[in-house]
Amino acid sequence: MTTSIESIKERLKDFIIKRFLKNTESESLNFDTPLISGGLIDSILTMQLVLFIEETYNFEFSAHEVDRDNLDSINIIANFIQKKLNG
Amino acid sequence: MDNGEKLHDLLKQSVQLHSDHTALICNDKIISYKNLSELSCTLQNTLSLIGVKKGDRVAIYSEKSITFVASIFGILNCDSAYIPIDASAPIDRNKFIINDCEISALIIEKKYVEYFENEFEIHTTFEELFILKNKNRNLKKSPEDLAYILYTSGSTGNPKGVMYSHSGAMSFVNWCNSTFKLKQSDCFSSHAPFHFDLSIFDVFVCIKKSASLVIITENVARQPMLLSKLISELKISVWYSTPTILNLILEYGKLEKSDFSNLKLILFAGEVYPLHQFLKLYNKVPRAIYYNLYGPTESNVCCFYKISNPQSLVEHIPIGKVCEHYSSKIIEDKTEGELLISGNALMIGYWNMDSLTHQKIIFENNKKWYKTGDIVSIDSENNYIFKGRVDRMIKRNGYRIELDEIEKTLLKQKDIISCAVISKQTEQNTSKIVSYIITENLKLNSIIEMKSMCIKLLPIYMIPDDFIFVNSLPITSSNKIDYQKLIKQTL
Repeated sequence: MTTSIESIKERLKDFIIKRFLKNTESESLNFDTPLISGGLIDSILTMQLVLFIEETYNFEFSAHEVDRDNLDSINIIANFIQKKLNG
Repeated sequence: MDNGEKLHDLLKQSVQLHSDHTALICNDKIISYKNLSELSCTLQNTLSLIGVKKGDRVAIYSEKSITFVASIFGILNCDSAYIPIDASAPIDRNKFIINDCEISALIIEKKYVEYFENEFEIHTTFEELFILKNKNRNLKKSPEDLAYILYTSGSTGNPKGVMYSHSGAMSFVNWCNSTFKLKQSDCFSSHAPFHFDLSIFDVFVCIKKSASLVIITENVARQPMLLSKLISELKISVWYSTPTILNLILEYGKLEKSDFSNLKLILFAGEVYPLHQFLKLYNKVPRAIYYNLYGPTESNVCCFYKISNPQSLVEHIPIGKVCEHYSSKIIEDKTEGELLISGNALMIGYWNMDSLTHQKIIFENNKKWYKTGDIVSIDSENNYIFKGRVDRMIKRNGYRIELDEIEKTLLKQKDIISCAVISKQTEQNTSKIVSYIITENLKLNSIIEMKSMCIKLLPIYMIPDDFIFVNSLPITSSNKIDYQKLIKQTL
């Protein structure tokens, strides 16, 4: 599995556009778009994103990691994933 | 019976009986009944010194904390009413509320103080919070016996304040005490924010029982994994929340890692709990006793249904029968129609909105009846079944949302030429809010841009799920927006 940070970002962007933005707006969503603080995803969608990440990258979030600090933009999430994958 | 007992008497009684017992738990902090009472008396003295007196109102603008609860009792001790502010809502909406309810003092987190420095002067601190005193001393007097004002969504575009008396709230507390089997050894959850009426049960019923209350802060309240950990580790036995939250815990809380065996009473309210989702929860936590509680903020809980035999339910969970301290009827004594509620526990009225109060509270045969706006029918066992609304108010995660508040707020933005906000039931039985927008600003033509605009204007639960950009809106023959047509054409 390729896990370069760029491929992680593209994969997340693809998921967010397909699942949360009705497949539109690929131009307006960038890697820094605030997802939770920008009102784009609520708590249920956040959990769907968490499940997607867990399944795709094969690790589990601990309860306190499901937090805005780790999930608020594609850049932030990608960094978090990479940290987890590198142990 | 109203024996003149006040909400803050509940704390005084518990201190006498169980002074060393844990009253509140919040994150890593714990406070006993004795210390909670002392803390609230400290605040009472400070407030009295700055002139807070009987008939005043004091707002609390903070995240949930032990200090927040101590503040509630400190304010009530002054024979003043408390007004809990939703710290997560946009500042302008909160400024409107604070201006509207003419408070004499404001207990507030440091980071928000700057927004109120024109009208208020900083007096002192109380634990981690600041106490601000209103420069204007010419303030309205509260109605007799006012205990709190809870602001909810208003169709005028601004929130409206529901005034509640001590005697009304005490009727509810006493009803809960006699209906549910609660013990001093219980551990209650406080999931709902304090500006939400579910918190009246959490705080005051718990303290009446001298039990322990786990204050769930905003950053934990929507995190299913943290919630199930909390229930399990703190051995919570009494849970009260909206069905949305129960479902969130069930779906994403990794229940296999948690122990819910202490949960003995699960209450839910605020919205319809789809039966198939409830049954999933019931199968996971079969030993708990479940109640569906129903009631608008204006009456707090007025109908209830104990789910004794879940497997026998078909289609929906009834909202049940009227509580003992209320009476109810369907308008014009029909078999399906608007539900009316009567009783001494009803709200006093809306703050500063006499004409709206008279519109919603009507007199019939010398009795005050509150028109709930909810349409109900009656099943074969004489239980009320919720059918829908008479107006454009909706419920989402237990929050009442006036679609007109969203619409009027959006229309105030200069780039929005026109808009229409509707709600639509999704397949998952939740309501989705869709906003149709006419704008000439091409930059706004994006869900991301619209949502980031909305987050500055509306509480998060009011932000539409979807935005559809159009060139015109359908109108009816009477030249009004044709909402029905929009609902039909929305996917």
